[in-house]
Amino acid sequence: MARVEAVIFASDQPVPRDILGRLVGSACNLDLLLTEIEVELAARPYQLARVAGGYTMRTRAEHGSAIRTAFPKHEAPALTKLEATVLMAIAYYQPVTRDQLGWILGQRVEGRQIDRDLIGRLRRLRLIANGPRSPEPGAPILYVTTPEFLQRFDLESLDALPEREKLEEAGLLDKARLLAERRALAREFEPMDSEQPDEETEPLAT
Amino acid sequence: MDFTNLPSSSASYLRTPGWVRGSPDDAVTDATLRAGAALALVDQLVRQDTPWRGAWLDRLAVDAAAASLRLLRRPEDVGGIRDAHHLCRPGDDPGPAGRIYALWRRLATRRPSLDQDDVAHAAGRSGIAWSDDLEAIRLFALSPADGATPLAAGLELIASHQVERLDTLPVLLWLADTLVARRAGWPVGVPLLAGTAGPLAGADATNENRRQSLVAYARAARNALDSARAIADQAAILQGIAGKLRAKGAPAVVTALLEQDAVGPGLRVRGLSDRGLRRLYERLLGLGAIRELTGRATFRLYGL
Repeated sequence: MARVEAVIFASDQPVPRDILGRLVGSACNLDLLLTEIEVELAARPYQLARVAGGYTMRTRAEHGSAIRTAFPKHEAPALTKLEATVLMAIAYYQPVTRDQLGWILGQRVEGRQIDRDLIGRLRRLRLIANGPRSPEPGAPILYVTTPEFLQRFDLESLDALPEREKLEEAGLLDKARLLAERRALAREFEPMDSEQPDEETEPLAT
Repeated sequence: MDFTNLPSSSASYLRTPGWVRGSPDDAVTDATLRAGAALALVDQLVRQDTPWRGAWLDRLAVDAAAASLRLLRRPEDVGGIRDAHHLCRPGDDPGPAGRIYALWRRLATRRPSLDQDDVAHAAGRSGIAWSDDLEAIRLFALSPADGATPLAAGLELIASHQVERLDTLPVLLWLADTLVARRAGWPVGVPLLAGTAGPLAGADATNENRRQSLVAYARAARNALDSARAIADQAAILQGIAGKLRAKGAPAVVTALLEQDAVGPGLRVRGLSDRGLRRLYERLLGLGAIRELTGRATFRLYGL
């Protein structure tokens, strides 16, 4: 039991069941053991938590304010509004290129692109990753969300993204159609050059 | 390698009796008999180490991945799966479609195993966290054979388990296919249940659901036999002309085509440049030995 607790305590990520199972061997009931640990921790300010199919140690929620006061800078890295928007678009439309993101978010109409650095930051936060190449000239990278993304937003699968069904019914998740429409719109406005397109989306540049 | 001496497709044992073809309204008895007969023919094929078995099973894995993605309500189709796999560089994330395909590909290329390490590793590499649900299903699958036929055991596994998380549903089906392969004593798994177990998975195991999944399994097994025949014919053409190919590295390309669903520009062959590889693909295409699978002018993928 002490060994299981030690391994969970020492890990900065949730420890998967199979690793704990290997630790105790097949003769031992892991669930019983974990319950015992839970009971033993009842009086402590931290607890055993089950996240993303694994186990981790977490401080109890009621101590949150004390911890935030003590370490004001240690808050979870907040995303800017623009970063959150781009991340959301990647989650719904993946796999998706930077250029496609620009069109989807209505930014390409203004002749601007989604910032490389912004993508880089989302990648460093391990919320997105480089995926396959897109089969088009230049073979641009397609971006995809990571398993960590699901874990941090407490989503059980990509199907659980908010309002996914409604968006799908409204035809808003049909990437090919959406891109075709946006490009057609841009072509319509191109000859007039400086004319601002009638877009409801706010310009997304920072 | 000289391919001219290999046995040609010998389509004789691939002949499927006409009555194996059923209809969606089949009664349970008919559906069961058709599924059983088709499975016995699949059994013959998977045990024979024909040169094209790899391509056949890999194609079934692509279909199983497509069916899984439909269950997960993802938009990617067969084309999206192939692109995710073939256009992904080492170390990059193949994305939702590529990850699911990797899971099924593993079934189709390895000895079926229910060891916790193997199974949890396979799921983990597909981005699916192992769960208590899945562990319970794995343990159920390991319970000793009670004389039930492999297919009955696989369907029972699906019918008697519910999964809490939608993303683990393909793993349930994958475990069921693994169970069928183990009980049948196959050297590798045959991805068949993904496209068929929709009626059973996540639903109550009513008689109607069971009937539907038997009908669906019979159809999947029969489609797999049709696919085997088509691939065998194509393989026969490829093997027939393999001796005439002078390009350096041609035997390696022929082998890859016989072992995989598709090959593309990423295939690394000693002594064959990218341009040489492209020319070889074009020549094989011209000779009718392979098909182009994407319909694109660039980033093309080829297969039997």
